[in-house]
Amino acid sequence: MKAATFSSTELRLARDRGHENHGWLDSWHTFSFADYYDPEHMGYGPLRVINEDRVQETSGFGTPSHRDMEIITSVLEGAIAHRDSIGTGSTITYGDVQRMSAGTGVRHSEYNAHNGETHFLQIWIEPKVLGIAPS
Amino acid sequence: MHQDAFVYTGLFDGETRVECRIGEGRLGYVHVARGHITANGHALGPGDALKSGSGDIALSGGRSAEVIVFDLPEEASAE
Repeated sequence: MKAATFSSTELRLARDRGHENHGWLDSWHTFSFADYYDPEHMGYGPLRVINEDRVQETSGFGTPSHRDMEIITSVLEGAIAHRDSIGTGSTITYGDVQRMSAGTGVRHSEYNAHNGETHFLQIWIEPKVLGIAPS
Repeated sequence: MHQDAFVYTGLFDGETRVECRIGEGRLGYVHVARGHITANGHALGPGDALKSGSGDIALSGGRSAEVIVFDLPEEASAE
């Protein structure tokens, strides 16, 4: 085994993350997000958001608007109905990973499309180019 | 993906051992979506993560683990 050449290993443990429970939505934030702000945890390079969300049945996010962000959604349990302003509509279930480039702006909604709680990760990565066309 | 970022997901259960090369000018990051796994000697559980800097990431000893590995550029500046 070769010698380790790094000295910057750092753990980010689950229990130390930001936590908000809104009832319909239970969310753990690895990095600062919404009402959770910790200057020590603003992201890692261009990785800006990892939210672990549990959304109750028949609940979801309206049409939040995003700009200049690569958004990856990975469903761990249940299913999400995704609709957005660029005409994409799909149901994301366990094992699916969806990527959306917000670019100049996308409005999208995510609703629980499952009889029961839906558990998913939402990951945001800052793009290297601003103002691209949404996709 | 409009960024020099690579995102890998893997399922680990049992003996499988994986080494992810990160390298100079890059940042490695492991997020455990579920299950348990050892990353660079650290036992991680659901929701835990490890920043490896430019160091490689060694994953082993997965127990029903679902893991996301990020290989990111060090500089996040937009053009």
